[in-house]
Amino acid sequence: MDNTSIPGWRIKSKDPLIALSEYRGMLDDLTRLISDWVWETDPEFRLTYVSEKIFQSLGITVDEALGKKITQFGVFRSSVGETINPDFTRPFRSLSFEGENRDGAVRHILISGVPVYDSLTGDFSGIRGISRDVTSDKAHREASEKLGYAMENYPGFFFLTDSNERFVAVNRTFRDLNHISMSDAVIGSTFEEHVRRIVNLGLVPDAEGKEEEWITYRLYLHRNPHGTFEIRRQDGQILQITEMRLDDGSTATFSTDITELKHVEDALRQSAERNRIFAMNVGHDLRMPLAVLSANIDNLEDKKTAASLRRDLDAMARSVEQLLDATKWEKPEIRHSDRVDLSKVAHDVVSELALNAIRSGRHLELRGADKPVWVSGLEEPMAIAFRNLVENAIEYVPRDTDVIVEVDKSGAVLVADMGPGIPENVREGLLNPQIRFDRRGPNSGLGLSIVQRIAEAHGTHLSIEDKEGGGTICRLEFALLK
Amino acid sequence: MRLLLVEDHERFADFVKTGLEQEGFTVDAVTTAANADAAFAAVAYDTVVLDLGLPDADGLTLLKAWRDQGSSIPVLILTARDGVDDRVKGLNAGGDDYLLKPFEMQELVARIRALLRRPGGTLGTVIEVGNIAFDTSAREVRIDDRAITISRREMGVLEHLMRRAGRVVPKDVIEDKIYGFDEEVSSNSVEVHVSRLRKRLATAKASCLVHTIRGVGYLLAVEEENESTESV
Repeated sequence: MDNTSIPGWRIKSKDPLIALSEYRGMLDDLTRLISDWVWETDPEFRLTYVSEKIFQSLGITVDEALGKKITQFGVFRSSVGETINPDFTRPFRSLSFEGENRDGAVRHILISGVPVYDSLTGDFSGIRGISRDVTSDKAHREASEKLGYAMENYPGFFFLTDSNERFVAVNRTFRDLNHISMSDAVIGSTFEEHVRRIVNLGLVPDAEGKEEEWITYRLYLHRNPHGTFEIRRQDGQILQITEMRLDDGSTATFSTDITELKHVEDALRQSAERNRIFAMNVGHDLRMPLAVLSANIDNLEDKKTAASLRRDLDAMARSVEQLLDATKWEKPEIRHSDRVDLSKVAHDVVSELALNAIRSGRHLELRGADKPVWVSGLEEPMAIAFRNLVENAIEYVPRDTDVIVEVDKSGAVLVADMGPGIPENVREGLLNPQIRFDRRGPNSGLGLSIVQRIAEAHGTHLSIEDKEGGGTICRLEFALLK
Repeated sequence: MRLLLVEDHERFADFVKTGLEQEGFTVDAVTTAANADAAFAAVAYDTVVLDLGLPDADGLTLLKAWRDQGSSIPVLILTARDGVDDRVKGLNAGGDDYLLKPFEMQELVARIRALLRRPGGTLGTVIEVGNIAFDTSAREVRIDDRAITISRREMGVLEHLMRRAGRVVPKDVIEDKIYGFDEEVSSNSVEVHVSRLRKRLATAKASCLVHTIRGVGYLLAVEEENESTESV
């Protein structure tokens, strides 16, 4: 065998000099193409050759590097990070080297090399080898290690299942919550096995008595992850679970403990409910004395005083009814099947308030209510809303002017008046359900906020517009049913 | 005229009783459904004023029991606004009526009188509103006790307005009542009759006005003596 050729390499020439030159060319190509840098030293480990790639790693040129020891650019470290002095007289592989580039940034380099001996004398003539810059590889690996560490210590639970619903990773909280020890082989087991296990352990109170149903539900959620849901645990904890499908088909699941939040929410809800019941009781308690007063006023001999008292009494009675309306319809629930004929409701309300309007010298008129206009909604709250709008208008417009209730076949009801209008800055306050009582007029505040609340329950809102030529138009638009 | 008042709030019942007695009614007041039922069985009342919220039973249940026994006594229901559901609204058609609390005494009296004047009622056939008296059997209208001449159709309009005085009578209801099935009704004929009726009432110095509620119907109301004052 020809001792100048390397097996498998395509060196054609038999002339040793030409063959050598071809080898040289090949070596040049390789050192240029590979991302590693190639080097050789003298017996004192001073660099006698180095490829240009050293610049990309340590930021020094070939000229700067030649004649220097490699340890002048950094230190070798053991696997636990200690500085070491390797024995270069024997082949070494992937030793960790930590260098610093011109900017002061640390570069992580893996260095492999072999000792070189003079072919004639057999004396040690240096080492040669290759160096690979793994700084970015190392940063990535460290980042994902840290991520794993953070996940392990995340206070909620975390787990990852692959596309076959087998566990790939779980964190400490997950093991703790589900009584899984480190030695239990949860990795590789299926999600269904896990769900059945926690149900059997009685960790899921919601599953009691309908175990299969709950398991099916939970598996369905896991297979179709979309956002969050809540799970109550047997120990009283309430967990918000977030599940998401990842690009590779695996599913990540993590929990947040929302027990505190839920308790605060419940307390708030209960407090609001207590207030509501209190207001309702006050309203009911006020009704009877008002009825007694009303029945008694007519027995007074001084008719002028009686008339004046009756007006105040009527205003009080109206406020009490509004208070009761507001508490009763705090949050009306409109179901899909609830339908109302706007024309009928408007007709009823105008009929009911006609005498009030006449007695106070205003002209009430109904338009567009000859045919039914069916919309989605509830009759009683809707009637309360219209009544409040009409009562307000009657109260605020000048005597001998019109209050017009108009039913639009698009599903809207308008109450138009020729009154002084409501200033822009006052409107928002009137609609705000937080502002319960208003001192501007005898009844104004509560009335419009009830209207607004009822409108919101119907998925709409009360809009207040200026009417051309003076006056106000209050408009409620509902969802028309075909 | 003997009347049964069923109302569990005693002070309220006292005032109502006093008010009705001043109007010439004889009033028996009871506070429970059980007592009401006992009184109803013992006495032939002309009418009942019935509160819906009783301590021992729902007023409507009591009313249904009486109707099931075959009684056709007119009953006026007292209720709060939120007690008005479809069952209560339906009373209007069945010879009964309802009134919202709180109410004015004169309104209660007017409603009771209207009930008593319904067919089968015991108060006779003369309906009175303000200074107008309408004898429904003699078909005669008197204002301040002077008979006036009035057409048959105008009389029909007036009767329905008087029976529901203070409340709106829808235009189509009036149309139905004054025309037979086979009669042609021109679109403005009700307006024409109402307009003539108004002139007649004004000429005869009636104390009532027929108000138009455009888009809904008509309403007969006694004119108030004092111009009602602006609300504050």
